[in-house]
Amino acid sequence: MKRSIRFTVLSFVALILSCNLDGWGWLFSSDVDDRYADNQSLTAPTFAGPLSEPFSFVVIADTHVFPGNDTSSYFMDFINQLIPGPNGDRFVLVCGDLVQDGALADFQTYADEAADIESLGVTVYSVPGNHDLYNNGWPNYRAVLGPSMYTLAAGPVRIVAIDSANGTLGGPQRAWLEGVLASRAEPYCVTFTHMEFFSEGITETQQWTDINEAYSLMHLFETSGVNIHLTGHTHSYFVRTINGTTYLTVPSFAHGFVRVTVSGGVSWEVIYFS
Amino acid sequence: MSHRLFFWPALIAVTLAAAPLSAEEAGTRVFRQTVTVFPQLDLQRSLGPDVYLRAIYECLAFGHFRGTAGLSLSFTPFTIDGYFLELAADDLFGTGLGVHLKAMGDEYPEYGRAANTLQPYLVWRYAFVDLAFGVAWRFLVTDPNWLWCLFDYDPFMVEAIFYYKIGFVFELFDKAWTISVSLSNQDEFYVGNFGTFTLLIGNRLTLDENWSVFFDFIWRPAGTIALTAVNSDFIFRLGGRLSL
Repeated sequence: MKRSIRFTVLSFVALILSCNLDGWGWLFSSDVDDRYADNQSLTAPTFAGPLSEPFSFVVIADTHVFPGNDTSSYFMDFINQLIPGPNGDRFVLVCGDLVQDGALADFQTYADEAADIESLGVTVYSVPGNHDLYNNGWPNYRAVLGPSMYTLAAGPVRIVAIDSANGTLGGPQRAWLEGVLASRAEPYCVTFTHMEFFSEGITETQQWTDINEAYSLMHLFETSGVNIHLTGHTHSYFVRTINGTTYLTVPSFAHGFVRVTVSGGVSWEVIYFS
Repeated sequence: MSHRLFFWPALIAVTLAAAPLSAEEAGTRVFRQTVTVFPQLDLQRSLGPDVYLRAIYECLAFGHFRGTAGLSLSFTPFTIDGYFLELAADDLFGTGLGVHLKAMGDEYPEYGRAANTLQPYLVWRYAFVDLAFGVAWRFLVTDPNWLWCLFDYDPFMVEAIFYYKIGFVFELFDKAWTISVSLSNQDEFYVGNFGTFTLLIGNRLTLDENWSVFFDFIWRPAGTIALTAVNSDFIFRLGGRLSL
């Protein structure tokens, strides 16, 4: 009995260490309400330049940058797939888990890769995922990338970046989100965040703890006319449309991305790397 | 893959459920009915506080077969927000093993949706150990005409969730005081996702052979499985139980 307990504990510790995860994060982590307070003093990104239909934008997720992960080749493949030009891909949304374990150097590597994309005239907007918070990663994220929750207008599209890295929004962010969605003037609205609402497989670790909160958010999106709610986290493509709002989970960056086209409506296609 | 993973456990569960009790056990015709009523205060960090009034009726037959029904009333908004029916056969052949099948409805009429959950699961209660493992198929209902149908199962709106409970029950002072501690992703009116856990610390004081009172504290962190935990809910229950 003692041996089996010892084996279980050691296996768990080995798992934590091998994944370079934050063991204390099992109980405590960067708090979403604290990040909301931090966001008040950070400058939200904007979209520069005119933008009118038709155009497209691209959504990626779970880049998981860390030393030893050959993400540079993924970024190279991705850049080669971008469609430049005024009617092409105008910006990129990244749905969290940008880095593996919250390290400052990895956020800087990610920012360098994003700069390569932006050199093509394609702006990159990011939100944090749970991996970005590991090992007190939020100060590193904030120092390199800025706010974790923000909104901007990109031509006819209202974009809302939501911080769901903890699997809950918290009261202040929830109130902010309701205000943003209620006051938008653009004909289209796209929200993007990390955690998805639906678990497709029995071992998927969908992280909205409280389905009351998840259903409340879905109701908010649907009654606010959100066209697409974009998420990552599970590394697998998934789409479901409910009451006019499409909930779309993007495949992991190693496998592909989603291109959203705005032309008299909003449509999308998933593209896998060959 | 996920469904195949649970094929054999499900088959074993069905087989065990179909197995007859021994004649000796079947001859012990004992019915015991229990009514549990408790208010519950739920402090959800994003949505604020809510108060519930919940009641559970249970009928135990032959010391093994159990039928349970529950009803939950929410006060913000004022509505029935949950109900369930459960059939179970416990302590089969004295092994502590039991098979349960539960149909639960979580209602959110203010959001125009409901979640119907079908939960086949195995339990093992032996000495101070209380374990439960199974699967919960959660079906999202968005058609307002079908919100209150417990058995509306749309296969295109299903989520498969691993169902677990790891619990310990300690009986003190000649069973007058029972302390239970459990880690799970569910309770009577709730099934969370695989990536979350609920910590329950329960105290039950037996007053006499019919009456007992209890106090439960429940903590539900968010984001736990991937180690970015923060508080999601704090839940307090204070209730009474009448056994006849």
